[in-house]
Amino acid sequence: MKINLPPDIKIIILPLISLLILLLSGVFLLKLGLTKFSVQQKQIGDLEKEAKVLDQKNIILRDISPGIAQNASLFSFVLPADDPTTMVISQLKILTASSGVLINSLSSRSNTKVSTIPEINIIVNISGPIMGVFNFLNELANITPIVLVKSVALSQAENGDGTTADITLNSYWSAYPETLPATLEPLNDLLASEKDMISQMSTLKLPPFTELLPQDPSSSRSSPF
Amino acid sequence: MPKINLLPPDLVPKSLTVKITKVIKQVVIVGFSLFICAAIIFIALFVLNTMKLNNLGKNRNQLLESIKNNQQVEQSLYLVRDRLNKIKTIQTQDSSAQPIKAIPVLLSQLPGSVVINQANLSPILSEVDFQTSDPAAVSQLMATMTGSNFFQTINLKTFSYNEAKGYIVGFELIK
Repeated sequence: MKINLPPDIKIIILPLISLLILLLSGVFLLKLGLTKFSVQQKQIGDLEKEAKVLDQKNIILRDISPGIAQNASLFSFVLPADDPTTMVISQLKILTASSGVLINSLSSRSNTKVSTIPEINIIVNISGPIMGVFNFLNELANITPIVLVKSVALSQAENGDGTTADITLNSYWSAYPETLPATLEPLNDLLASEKDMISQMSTLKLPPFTELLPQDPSSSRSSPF
Repeated sequence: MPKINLLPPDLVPKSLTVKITKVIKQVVIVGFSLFICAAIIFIALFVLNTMKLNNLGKNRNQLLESIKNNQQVEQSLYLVRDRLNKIKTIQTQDSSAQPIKAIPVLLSQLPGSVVINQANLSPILSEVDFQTSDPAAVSQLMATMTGSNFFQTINLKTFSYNEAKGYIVGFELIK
């Protein structure tokens, strides 16, 4: 069936349809192009931001590298992950020897208060010359694990020779962090105050440890049976 | 020879329609050219951005790999920072060092005849009883204590004398 259109319509219809198709295609192209472009720009922005954070993190980790593992080891003594009582007692015994005082009694108990930094109370009774006692008290600030003197009761020794001191100390411990922050979380370099603190802490006296070497199997005693 | 249109007038489009059609055709041609240009620009941008994204992705992966290789260092740094923050928290509670540092200094400024009879040292409030049999030492003790700047407040708490021990001068020291 042939539609007989008027000549005016006949001549204009094809260009009009072309124009309409062009307009629709233009709108589609513009919409698609802009959407794709903005999505890609956002992805580029995000990746650039991530790269900046990662790059900074990488530089910090690369530059900080020497010595940090050693510091981590030092700080595991300054504030251990477990109850530090035995280490503190060992340090107190060394201190009494170097200060010329004697330990008369020593006791410790865990503080039951729930905290992220649990504390141990240590009560030590020492006797000796007054300056030796004060030397002992001052040297407590230079040992690891960290201890704080909570109270000191001084009195003259019963025989009148020297001084007796009842010292109450607190020592602390705290479990190690279990997770690292997300990789994309920014990492800050150590602050000047933190570096100062590290250098202060590095002068603290570590508890002595004896390394027990494995026994040489060839030197083991032969079976007597 | 003049042009003669033999078609009946009803079959010939109006001249206005012909003009509009011409304009529309021109618009379509220009529009199509613009469409092709815009398409080329969008494709070029898409390709460039895709290449940039690929490069950024590669760079990101390299950085992640490098950070992964330094994970031990990161762990150490994180542990050190964790310990430092906790030590700072502990140290804010510490004010006990003041009397412990001050008393030996004060004692070294006093005559040898002055000894500590008894003392209770604690972060905020400390009490110290000095003992001497020398009256001149008592005045020097008073001068030393009042002249010291280790404590905010120094109260004279007791002052007594007995033949066996001599003078006993008790001070209350407030940080």
